[in-house]
Amino acid sequence: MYLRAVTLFALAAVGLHPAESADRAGIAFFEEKIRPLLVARCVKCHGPTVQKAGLRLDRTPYIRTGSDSGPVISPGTPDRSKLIRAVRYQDPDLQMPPTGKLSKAEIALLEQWVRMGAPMPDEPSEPAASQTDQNSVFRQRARHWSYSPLRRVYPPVLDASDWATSPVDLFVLRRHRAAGVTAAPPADRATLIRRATYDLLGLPPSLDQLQTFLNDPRPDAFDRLLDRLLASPHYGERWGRHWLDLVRYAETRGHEFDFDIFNAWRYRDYVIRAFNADIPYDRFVLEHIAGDLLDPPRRDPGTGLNESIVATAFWWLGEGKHSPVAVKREEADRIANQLNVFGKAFLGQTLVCARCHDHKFDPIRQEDYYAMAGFLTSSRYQQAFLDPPEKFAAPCSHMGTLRDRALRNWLRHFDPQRTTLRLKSALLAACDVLQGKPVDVAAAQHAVPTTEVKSAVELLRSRAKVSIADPLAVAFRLATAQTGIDSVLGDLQREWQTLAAEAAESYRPVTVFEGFWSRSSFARNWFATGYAFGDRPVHGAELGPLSGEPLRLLEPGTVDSARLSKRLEGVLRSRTFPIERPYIHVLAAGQGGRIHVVIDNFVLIRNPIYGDLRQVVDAPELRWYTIDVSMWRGERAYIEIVDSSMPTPSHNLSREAKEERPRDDWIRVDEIVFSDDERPPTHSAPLTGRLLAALRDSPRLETLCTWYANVVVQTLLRARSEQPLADQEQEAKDRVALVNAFLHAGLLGGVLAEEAEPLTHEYTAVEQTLGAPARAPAMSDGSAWNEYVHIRGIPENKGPVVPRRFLAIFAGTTPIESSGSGRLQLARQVIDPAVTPVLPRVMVNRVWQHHFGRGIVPTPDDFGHMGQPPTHPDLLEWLAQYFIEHDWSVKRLHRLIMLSSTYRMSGRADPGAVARDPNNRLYHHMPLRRLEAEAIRDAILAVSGRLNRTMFGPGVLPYLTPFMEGRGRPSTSGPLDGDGRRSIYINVRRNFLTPMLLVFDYPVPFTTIGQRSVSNVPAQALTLMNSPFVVQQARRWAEKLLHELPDSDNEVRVRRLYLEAFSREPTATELHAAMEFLAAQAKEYGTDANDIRVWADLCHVLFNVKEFIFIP
Amino acid sequence: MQCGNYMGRPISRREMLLRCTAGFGALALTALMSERSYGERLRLDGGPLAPKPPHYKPKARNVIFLYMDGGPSQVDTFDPKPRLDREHGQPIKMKVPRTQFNNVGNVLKSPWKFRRYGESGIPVSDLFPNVARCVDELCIIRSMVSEFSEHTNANYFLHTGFGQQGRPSMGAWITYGLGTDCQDVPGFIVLNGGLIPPGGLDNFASGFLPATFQGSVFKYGKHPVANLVSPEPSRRLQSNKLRLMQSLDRTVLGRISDADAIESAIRNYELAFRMQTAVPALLDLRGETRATRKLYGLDSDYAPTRTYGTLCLLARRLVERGVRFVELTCPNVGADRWDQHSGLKEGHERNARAVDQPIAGLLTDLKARGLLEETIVLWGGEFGRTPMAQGTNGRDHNPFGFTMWLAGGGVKGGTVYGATDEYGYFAVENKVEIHDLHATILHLLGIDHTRLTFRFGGRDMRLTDVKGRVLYEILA
Repeated sequence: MYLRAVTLFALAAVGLHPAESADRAGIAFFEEKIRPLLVARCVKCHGPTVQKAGLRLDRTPYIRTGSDSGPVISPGTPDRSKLIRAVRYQDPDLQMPPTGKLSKAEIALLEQWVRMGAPMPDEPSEPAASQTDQNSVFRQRARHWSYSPLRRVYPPVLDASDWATSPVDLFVLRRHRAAGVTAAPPADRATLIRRATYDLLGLPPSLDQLQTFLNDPRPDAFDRLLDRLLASPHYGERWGRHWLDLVRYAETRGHEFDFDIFNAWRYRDYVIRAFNADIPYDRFVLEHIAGDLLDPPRRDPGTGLNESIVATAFWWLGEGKHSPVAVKREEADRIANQLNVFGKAFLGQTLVCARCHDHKFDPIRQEDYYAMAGFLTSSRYQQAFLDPPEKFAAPCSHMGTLRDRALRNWLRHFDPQRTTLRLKSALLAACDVLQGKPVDVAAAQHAVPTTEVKSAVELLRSRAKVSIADPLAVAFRLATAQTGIDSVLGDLQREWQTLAAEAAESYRPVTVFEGFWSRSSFARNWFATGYAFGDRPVHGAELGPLSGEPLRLLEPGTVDSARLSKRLEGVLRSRTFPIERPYIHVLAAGQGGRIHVVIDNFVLIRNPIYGDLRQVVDAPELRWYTIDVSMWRGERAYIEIVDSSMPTPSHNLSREAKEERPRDDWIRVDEIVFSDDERPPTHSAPLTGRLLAALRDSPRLETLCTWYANVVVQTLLRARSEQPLADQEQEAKDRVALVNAFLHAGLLGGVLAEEAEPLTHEYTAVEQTLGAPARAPAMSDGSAWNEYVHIRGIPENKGPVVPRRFLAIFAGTTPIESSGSGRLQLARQVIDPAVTPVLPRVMVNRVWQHHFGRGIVPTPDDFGHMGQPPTHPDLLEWLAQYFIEHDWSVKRLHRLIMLSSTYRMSGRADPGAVARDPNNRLYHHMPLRRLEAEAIRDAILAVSGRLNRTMFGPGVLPYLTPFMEGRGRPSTSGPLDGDGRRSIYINVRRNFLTPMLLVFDYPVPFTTIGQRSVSNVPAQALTLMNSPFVVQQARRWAEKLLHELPDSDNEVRVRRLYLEAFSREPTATELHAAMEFLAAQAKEYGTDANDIRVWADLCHVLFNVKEFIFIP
Repeated sequence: MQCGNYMGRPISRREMLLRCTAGFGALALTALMSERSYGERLRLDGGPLAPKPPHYKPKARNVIFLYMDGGPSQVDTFDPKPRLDREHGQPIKMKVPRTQFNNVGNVLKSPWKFRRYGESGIPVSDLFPNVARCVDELCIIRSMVSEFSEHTNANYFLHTGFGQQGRPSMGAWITYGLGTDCQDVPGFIVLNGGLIPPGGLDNFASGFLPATFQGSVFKYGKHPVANLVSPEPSRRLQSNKLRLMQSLDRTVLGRISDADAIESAIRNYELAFRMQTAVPALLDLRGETRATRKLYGLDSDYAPTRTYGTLCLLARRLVERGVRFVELTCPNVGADRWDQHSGLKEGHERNARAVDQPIAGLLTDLKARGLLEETIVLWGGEFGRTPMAQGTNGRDHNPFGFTMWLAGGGVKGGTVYGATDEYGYFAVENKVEIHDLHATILHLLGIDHTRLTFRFGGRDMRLTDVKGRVLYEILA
């Protein structure tokens, strides 16, 4: 090696010629041996057409550049060359060619070439798409219609037309005239009310509604019908369900065990309320993106619950995996789903195509995708607290006031001299007792009540086996010293020195992440939710809950969820940090409290692999909890301190149902450190140090006892004058511990108890009012954290970090400035039509689509180049403009559209129009539409009279058929008829979707489905023919009929059924057929036509008549 | 509407009305008179499930997928590794990636002996003494790889070519591409032996394809198909209903222009009605000989063998009648699926015992009936297992190298393709991705996997995503 280097150096020194000739030989070697080999074995996947891993081996500049993850050749050292390692099959995850190893000779050639320094000629890379070409391609793409600013358009001015009754009609009519088609005649009133009622409510019109409308002679009868329908609470259930399709609404996480997404139903209810209240769409979108950041939030006028924040639940309604082997990849998949839904639902953009590469068709670059991903890496999952401030804030402040008053009174009234004397005497008496003197003798001698002496003895005895880090342990040791104080003192001194040295040593491999000492660092490091912890750490002298037994001072320099009451709940989340050391140690105490380490936003913490990231804190004394995070070094993380009745997300519903009530759990955390050492650090004992120093000067029990009394009294005096309790943090903790020890022993407490007692009753009364908080899954802001580009979509291939921003096509490339996620800024850009003109276009198109079965843009979720262009671009533009100008009101949009003649056409097309425009692209008649799955089920319930109109609340469990099997199956089935509730209230369990709904194309909730498919499968017929639910409802309907029309003749009854099912009278033929059927069935049953079975059969047939589910 | 063909090809009004007149009554009559009406292959109406021409001449017509839920161990079944015997109990001498449970134990030798069988002399472990006798029919791929270590993702990936919920299953793609030859039952049938794999029914779903193509789950037992049993106490009560329904439907047709949808829905009732008879007849095994029943293990004293044997026999009956894609899930053997994180020996033994004889019976029977040539039989799980122990006596998930096999349908029998390393951990030779397997199966069925597409979410989606290579090497 040495020689070789010298030779090379020598050659270089002599001049270039020999080197040149070496090069020439090398290049010849390359051309003769290597290039043909590369062409034969590699270029198919790493060449001009395909470049797997970004690697090209067909031209030398590319060979030099290497792959996405860097150079693949390290000239001179085959062992370090990725190319060589790959062909050697050296690493399990990189073996090339994948289809089979090269021959030994081939590998040897490549090795030789690399060893030679990988000589190759310089050659131009062919004129592939350069950056400027790319830019011009993107500029070209950006001119696509949906990115262009909203055009100001006006309804066309047409010659007099009786047909057009709305500006909408003018746009439609212009096209009719141009194409020479004639519109279908207006629909009759019965058809119209049926159509409108299903469109707006997803239910058939009731008999009353039908009669009212049919008998209303006024010209604006339809207008008033719309008023009634739009005011119905069922409207939100219908249109809310359309919306839920867009956000892949589900209440479980699918995957292996189908864990619940707790309280997801609150989002469903939010959507229903938002549609009913006609919340302006821009506001609705704002809330979806950043409802957690709105101050003040919008609150439900009825309950005062925070509405805005519930909207953000939509981010968290996707699938979740409980034990991914690669946690970062799991996050990448989750974010891909979130951005997929975000892009399609709001923007009609297929953003997620840019996860692996620049979008193939639309002006969305890979950087855009990761700039958006940063909003999500900077945000977190939470179960947000929704209650209005008065529910918790007011009682908390009330309790706080009472508690502080008790403390102040005590501090004001206590007598320092008396306290000192009494405490000292009690301790001296206790020492005497420990040395063998009878209690009453010692008590009398020191003039202390016997009970106090006993308490003091007990207190000291309790420190018999405790480290002298606790100063009271010193008292026990000295009082029981057999060989005299002096000799023991020497031991104690040495012990203390060891302790101090160990403590100092134990902190060497440690970074203190949080000691909970300063309010400002707490504000920087922690995000608090709920009311349990308050908004800052415990500091100075602070009294614990007055309802607590015994009364105590809170430990300063901690966070404590039982600060005011154990009933309160809350969660603290730390700032985001990269995992750099292998261990996290948390000093904590509690009961049923939890500590979580959330890595890459992975919250389904559970075994296998992740179980240790969740520590249950279930010991009343502070102790260290150690979390081994060595496996995730380099990943992003935050810590959660949890006092919550919500279980971790990886649990099932029954657990949740059990735990949704206030519980007396609590957690206190004192310190969090990151360490290289598996063992947690130990604390020094400053107060013991001081005590030993005092004793060194005067080694007597008298000194000892006086010292304790003085420390306590000084501490209380400092508290009285609101000074810091000690100069040093640890010492303040020790001082409070000492005070508490004496309080608990009843050696100080009498006075405090007296002061507190009159307030305790009131305190407890307020505390009793604290109920379970209302919660919903939601976004919460974390620390700002930009994401890097995942080259080719692979998280392990780190590309450049991209600052957070909205898509460049809309908002340019200026990053968003925010210390948090910046979602609020993002949201404001999204809802600004000047920035994002596609937002109103997408929404008006959706509304139109649900009225006509097809959007003006027929691909509602894709307004990009691969989507279809609008059939009526001007109309779309005008509707978007109208929408914005009318306060983004969806209800106004319904009225506008539904009052048009276009909407009111019948389904009977003009034959000429059909010939010219067979697909009805010009809307020359109203297309026939099949009801959606929910509307079919709801209509059956409505017609049978079973419909339970209860709104909102946790869903009804799905009815489990024997075909619904697998892990995570609920332990109980819901009722067959779903309790009569509308379908939107059936609990959506990803792995156990309701078969009856699925059969009628209920979408599997995995991504935005703006348009459901309308399929035609035998299972649909089988369901309506044979399913127990339909049969049950048919019978119920028959019962209702015979109950309501007990004495009517059969014709009247049949007419009634027709009106209920189809909103019209039967024709003579239909009536006749029905009567014959009744007779035939009666004969078969051997009964007469009053038999319920006969009528149930007729009802069953009517459910099966196609008119029941197809709306003209 | 992205796909124009699934509302059914329109037929003329006249044809429709004619059919409605005869309609259900006639059908009901046929059904009542002939137990074998399902064999008629009624193709009056076309529709989405009507047979469609493949891209090129196919070698196979049908697929039977013997899905081994949980991930059987390759080194204990079809991929013997002497090194495991040599190093049993020692730490494994290679870099081990993070495993699902990450509880990495020592090298664990296979508790079963391997023996050579057939003309090919391919070794098979004692777990599969019966399948072993058919080894000359098998093309054993020892170099399968998957992208996921977790059941659910790996299941979705194996079934749909994508690791998350929402994509169409292989059977859905294939019926979408080819339709089916039997119009009395759906084209993609899942015979559920008792275990639905993690990920649930979505493993068999049609995803963004129309629901027409979704797997219909037939449950083992008395009521195999949901809502198949009519509630009426007598046939006449039901046929009266259907007749009335028909005459009332006719009036609806007169009232609207867009009749196609309703006509399709009406046809749907006809198929549903046929299924009421066809399915029970199909599942009625009384006509099978004693010898056949024995062949499939229906006389076994082990209940799971009887269950799986019944499914295998049904699978043959289904492909015999032209059902395009049949998938079998495993029976519950009381010891968990093929997912032995611990107790490898007992768990694998129970699972193998349930399927060994039935599979051998199926292969033998298909061959005897000349059906094996046109039927691809696919065996395997979502991944394999680690060569080192999890704990002491289990094996963890291993997506890096595992075994699946194919038989019949134009596959080269009696061969082994690909290899894992000496431990049987990583595929090192002729690696086969799930996408390659899909591409190959489509190819055998006459479909070019790059041309079987469906536009969704702005992309032309494929079963093989943007990947897939046909394994020409394993074709006969």
